[in-house]
Amino acid sequence: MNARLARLLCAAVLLCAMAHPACAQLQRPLRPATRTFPVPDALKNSALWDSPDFLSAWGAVSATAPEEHRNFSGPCDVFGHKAYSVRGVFERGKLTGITVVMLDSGAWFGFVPDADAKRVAATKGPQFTALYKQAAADVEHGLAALAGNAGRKAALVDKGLLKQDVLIFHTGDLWTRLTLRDNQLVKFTVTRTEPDAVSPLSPQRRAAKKEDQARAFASRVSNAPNGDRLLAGVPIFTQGDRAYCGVATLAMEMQFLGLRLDTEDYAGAAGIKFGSTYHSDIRAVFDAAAEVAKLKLTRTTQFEFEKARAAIDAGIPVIVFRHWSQERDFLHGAFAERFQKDPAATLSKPDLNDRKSWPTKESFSHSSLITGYNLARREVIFTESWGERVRNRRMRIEEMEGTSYMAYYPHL
Amino acid sequence: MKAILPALFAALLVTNLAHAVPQAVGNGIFGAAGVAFEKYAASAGPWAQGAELKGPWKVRAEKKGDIENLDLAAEAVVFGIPASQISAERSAGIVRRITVRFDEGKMKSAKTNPGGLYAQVIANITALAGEPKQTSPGGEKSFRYESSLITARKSGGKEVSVDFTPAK
Repeated sequence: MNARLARLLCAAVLLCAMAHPACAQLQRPLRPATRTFPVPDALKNSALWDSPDFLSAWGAVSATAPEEHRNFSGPCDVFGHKAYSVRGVFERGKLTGITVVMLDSGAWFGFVPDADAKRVAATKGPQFTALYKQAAADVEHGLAALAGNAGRKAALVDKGLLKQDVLIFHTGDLWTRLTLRDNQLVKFTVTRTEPDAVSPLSPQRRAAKKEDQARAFASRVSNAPNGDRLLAGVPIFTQGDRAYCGVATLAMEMQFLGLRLDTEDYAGAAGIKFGSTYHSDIRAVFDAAAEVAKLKLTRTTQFEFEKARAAIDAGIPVIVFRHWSQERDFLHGAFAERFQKDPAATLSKPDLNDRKSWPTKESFSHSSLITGYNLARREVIFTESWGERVRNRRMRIEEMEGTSYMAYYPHL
Repeated sequence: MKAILPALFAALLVTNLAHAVPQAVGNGIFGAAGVAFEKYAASAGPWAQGAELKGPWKVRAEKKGDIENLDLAAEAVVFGIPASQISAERSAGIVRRITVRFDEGKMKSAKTNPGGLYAQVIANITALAGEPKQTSPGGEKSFRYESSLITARKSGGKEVSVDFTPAK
């Protein structure tokens, strides 16, 4: 084949690919461009939020998906501090909010085992406290300078474990909500509108009737030819080296259901302090989140497939707390990889030997999000708070039932 | 007593929920090589003429003929299971075999699942590579994965060994 023919073929393939509906939905390149987060423009100028150059740094976003979350690809320095994370929320392809986590104790300390909690708090706690004070003051002063005033106090959540008083700033033609949780968290969220800044609920959850909300949830269920029934668009918030699997999973669930609180909010409310879950109360935060989200929350002490199936059919993920082992985790990861290459691959029906290898209460505890199922294959499809590589893994229903010790099924 | 029991139950529940798995657990990264060991051993990388084995390897002093033996001088998790020893055979500048040994005593589940190591190794290799291509009368199972043949066998009462050799 000569070079000219090869070029023509390449162009034809490219044109065909671009004409494909799936491709037409992609407004931006698949790989995000790396650039520095533009401060202060990104905090006060909505025109920037629509500029192709700025948007290219968030990666591909669908123009039709109700909601997607993306991380900014470049470094972010704000008011003299390096941000931990910058995440954007896109509604039908339009950037509607940016959350910048400036300081989070879980990220700063990393995962601290229970046995080390007191020692770490005693030795490194004072350093973090000083850093927190400095970061909180600098960010508050920075936002006040951008707004030209000290902002106004508002109750984002007015009662309960997630009670949260925030500062609202009108920065340029955008709105910024500053959250300061003492000795724990400094973050701010920039929105296009004031109602988005002062409410913990998404516009759809604020305004729509219950029946319309139920329809919107159910519309996110997709059926694959192989029998997979899957929820599309569940966000993944990576927990990193933080003891945050439970609260990250909760954030993934609740953001999908329109509650705009973050992993770090739940961690603070649960009492995860200085990197340790020692004496934290995660269960209470689940109940509090459901209340703020105006959802009912059914809880069982073991994963029940029929309940999960009903939830998925309604477009709602299920949170499972389960016993976890590295050995079984490998198996699920390896199978997911093989399944990608060979869709006919199956997980065999568990026999006695298999069941013996399941993790028990002596193992680690972990939480996962159920994002689908396949009845014919007797599989639940689950997603971890570890990044895209662990989206939609598969496990036999029997194993999920046999290794779980708690499950949460939200409903309207 | 009626008041104490629910409180005790709640406390147990909270304690149980409070544990967590950090993201870094279970990645199966060995040394500074930055890849899962089984992926590396199954790739074409180790088998090429003159290939340098990734990771910190130590050459044993004794030598049998032209075969030299090397040991991985780092902890490694292979097929999701902590290995007790990883060694390699090399002759004429070509790696001929990589052997991974597992010891039930190194497994967290040893108490709850005694004798379950072989079944766990086989299940995990199968999840990655598919069903075995061959099973010997003695129970030895061979799998084909990427550029390697993977053969697993029981090795003593509580040990399992897995050989990686280049696939022909």
